[in-house]
Amino acid sequence: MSEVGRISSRLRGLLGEVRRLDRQAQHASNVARALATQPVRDERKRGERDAAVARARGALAALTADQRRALAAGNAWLAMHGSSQGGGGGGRGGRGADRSRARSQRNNADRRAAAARRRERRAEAALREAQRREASREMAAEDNRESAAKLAVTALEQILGIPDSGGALADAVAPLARRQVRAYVAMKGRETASRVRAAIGRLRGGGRRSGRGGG
Amino acid sequence: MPGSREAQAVAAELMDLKRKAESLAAEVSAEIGGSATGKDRDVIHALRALGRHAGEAASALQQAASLTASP
Repeated sequence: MSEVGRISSRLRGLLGEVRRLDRQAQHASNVARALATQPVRDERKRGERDAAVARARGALAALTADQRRALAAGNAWLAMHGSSQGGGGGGRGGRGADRSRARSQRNNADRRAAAARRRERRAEAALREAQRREASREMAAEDNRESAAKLAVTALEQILGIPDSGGALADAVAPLARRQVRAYVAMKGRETASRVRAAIGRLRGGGRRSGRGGG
Repeated sequence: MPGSREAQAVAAELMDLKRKAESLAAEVSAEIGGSATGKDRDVIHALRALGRHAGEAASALQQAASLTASP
């Protein structure tokens, strides 16, 4: 382990103790205050004791302020020398490590921002594509309906034997789905076929009757 | 007296902290030497101040404890 690595390791250990100083200093201060309440018969000694307690409490208050400074300075030092433990340059290489870490953090932030922008662009493109497909489907469905309606009208005109001059058939067929149109045409076709068959039957019957009567 | 014994124990802890802080400040100072940067100096000063105040508190506490031990 390098010299800086060894110091870093010891500094970390000491900073752990420094972090716990809050309670230790508070406890020490309480102990000092409790001492000041203990009886001392000799007045001179009591005066000295009280002065010592005051000094101890003053030093402990200063220690608490030192604690904050030492933690801040120690952590900054560790951050500066942290990556140099890995053998990356040693000595004054700590600054290079600092700059390298800052650059790496900036690069990471840039990469994350770029990735977020890419995701956003992909999501927008997917949304536009979905809207385009939906519109395309609707247009195709509309085309299908129109085409089916035209076919249906033509078929009905032929079956019924009447031209759809007023557009009544087209109006009747327009709101219908293709399946309904097909069913409607088939129904009308059956009705017409039925009428035609009846008419043919009547003609045949008459023909047969006349034929039988004639034979 | 119990309070006095506890004060002696706390003083011993503070002395221990003083030794550690001063020894580490000396090591950092020796390692960095003349090329100490602002952050290096900060940590050396903070550790020295910590050691000094820990020592002051320890010795004052020890004195107060010894004066209280035999009323």
